[in-house]
Amino acid sequence: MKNRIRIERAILDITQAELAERVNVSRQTVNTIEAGKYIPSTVLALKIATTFCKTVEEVFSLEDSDWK
Amino acid sequence: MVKQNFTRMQPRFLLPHFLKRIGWTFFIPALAFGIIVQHNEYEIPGFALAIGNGILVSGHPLKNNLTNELAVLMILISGFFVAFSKEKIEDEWVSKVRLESLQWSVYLNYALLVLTVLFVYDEGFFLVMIYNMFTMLIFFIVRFHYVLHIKDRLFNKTESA
Repeated sequence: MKNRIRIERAILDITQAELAERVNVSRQTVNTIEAGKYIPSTVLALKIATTFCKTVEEVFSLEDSDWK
Repeated sequence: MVKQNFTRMQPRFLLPHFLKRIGWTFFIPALAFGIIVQHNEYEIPGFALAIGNGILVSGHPLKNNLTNELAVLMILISGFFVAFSKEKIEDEWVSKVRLESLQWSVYLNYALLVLTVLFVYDEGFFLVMIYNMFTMLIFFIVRFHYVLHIKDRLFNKTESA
């Protein structure tokens, strides 16, 4: 699963730590999600997207490998 | 920017966060104490309980020094506090790491146990069994905290704005 968290953070000019604080998770969690190492729960994905004033699909998108 | 009051899911079966610090305070000294008790056969003088017609010995009273019991309980309880107190922020990824670490420690523990069953005998095996009471907990603590705190610091220096 791809994500645009880094780009969206840059638009809002917030750090991983600040995003983490807004969605109530640890900074490491935001770090692993942004790096594509961890797929967040639906609730957390919705919270992250809401923070960016975007829909989930605008922040997270499927890759070919997700279908295999 | 939408600012909402998001709440976390409450993890079950975990101790409050403040017990973690208490756990660490006692865990390391308890380990050192345990090793001293085991290897030097140290006993706190007079720290004993007289067992009358005990379960093991009948007839004459048996005096059992409680030093080793104290060491075992100190390690287990403080280790349990360290392992199973909530993190400051106990979120879904932390829960995942916790679960993985638990699986990892069980696998490693039994793999080592299989090896010792094959290659270690008699008193050596008895010694292994003593250490085996604590190894699963210790493997868990090491792996969990490594992934959560150390790995992140070592390999993620690219935190950017």
